[in-house]
Amino acid sequence: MKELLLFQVGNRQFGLDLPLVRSIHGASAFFEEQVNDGDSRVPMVRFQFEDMPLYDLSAILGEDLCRQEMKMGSSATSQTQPPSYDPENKKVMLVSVQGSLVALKVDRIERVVSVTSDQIEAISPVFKGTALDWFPRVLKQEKQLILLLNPDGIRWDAAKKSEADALSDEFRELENALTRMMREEEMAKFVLHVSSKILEKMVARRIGKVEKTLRKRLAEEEGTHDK
Amino acid sequence: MTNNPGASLPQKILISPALTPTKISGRQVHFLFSIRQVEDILKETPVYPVPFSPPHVEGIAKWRNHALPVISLEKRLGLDIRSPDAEFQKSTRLIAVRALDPGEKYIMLRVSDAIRMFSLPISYTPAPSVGWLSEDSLVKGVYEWDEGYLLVLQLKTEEVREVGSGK
Repeated sequence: MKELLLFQVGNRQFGLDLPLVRSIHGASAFFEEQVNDGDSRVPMVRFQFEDMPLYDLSAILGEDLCRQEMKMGSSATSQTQPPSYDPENKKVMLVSVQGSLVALKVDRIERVVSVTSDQIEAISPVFKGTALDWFPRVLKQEKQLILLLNPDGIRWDAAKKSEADALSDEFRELENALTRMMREEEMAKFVLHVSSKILEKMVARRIGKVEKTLRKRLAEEEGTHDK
Repeated sequence: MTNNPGASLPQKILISPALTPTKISGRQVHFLFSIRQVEDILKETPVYPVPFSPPHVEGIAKWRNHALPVISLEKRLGLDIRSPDAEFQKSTRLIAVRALDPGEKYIMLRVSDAIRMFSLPISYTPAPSVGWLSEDSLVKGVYEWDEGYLLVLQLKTEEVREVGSGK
């Protein structure tokens, strides 16, 4: 048997492995002690002398689910009006992810359920990227399907995004520096020249590989004929 | 000679008009499935959206104690889809289709409620041009028949997932 903590975001229920949850608190306590970390894309909060990223799932998932339901007209989860939650009653779960803590803000904590392993299924590989990182498994209940959140995937996804952002920042800086140094026409010529060199090398490498394979095949064929 | 009791039976197919308002040269686009591909046709089955999923994946739906992905073929193929209103789910069906993957894998497709069964042979000819299909990696063949165009698909999980692997 496995224990899952069910929680609500908007009108949707999600689940989380209970052993990962360290503690649950009222959300208001966290806003008062928000830490300003200029480098981080995710707001950091301090709780009992420990800094940790805070993921507001109501904002992150709520917005995406709204968009998803718009694209389908109605869905299993939009049959009723979304409940309005008092911001004062929102909760923050402190969740353990590879030795560090992550704060997850949700609309409501539902309950703990005990489930068997055959009630949990890996989500189809048709899903990919962030969807699969965040929700790799689903709980099959008699009347509904509940996505199981993977806090490790959230951290990993955030790290990937931040890396991509940093890379695009670097490119932007390089572009600005080049623009300052050269005229637009010169820069275009330079980029074209570098690109063509790279392309040339790539094509040569491919041709080399094809040539090697063909020579090998020819040698094999000749060997067969000799026999 | 092999003894195949099913060989003498006429092969059946299912044809469903695409949920697209766009007509190609004034003709309706249809999807063709073999009856062996389709395991079930379901009415008003709840679909649970999965956050951050690609536009052509509606979500997951429960079928025979499995959570299957629900795909919009029109979106996957880059066709327009009629704007979903309150009647959209009522006028459509979900079909559980066997994917061409190793092992028993299934996916759900949203299709029109005007899905019909035919016995082969039906009269069709290969379509001369498929320039109107912006995404064709999933398409095995395009034909013309009495009622418009027929798209025959090869439903592999990898192909269903990857948009942009075609032209």
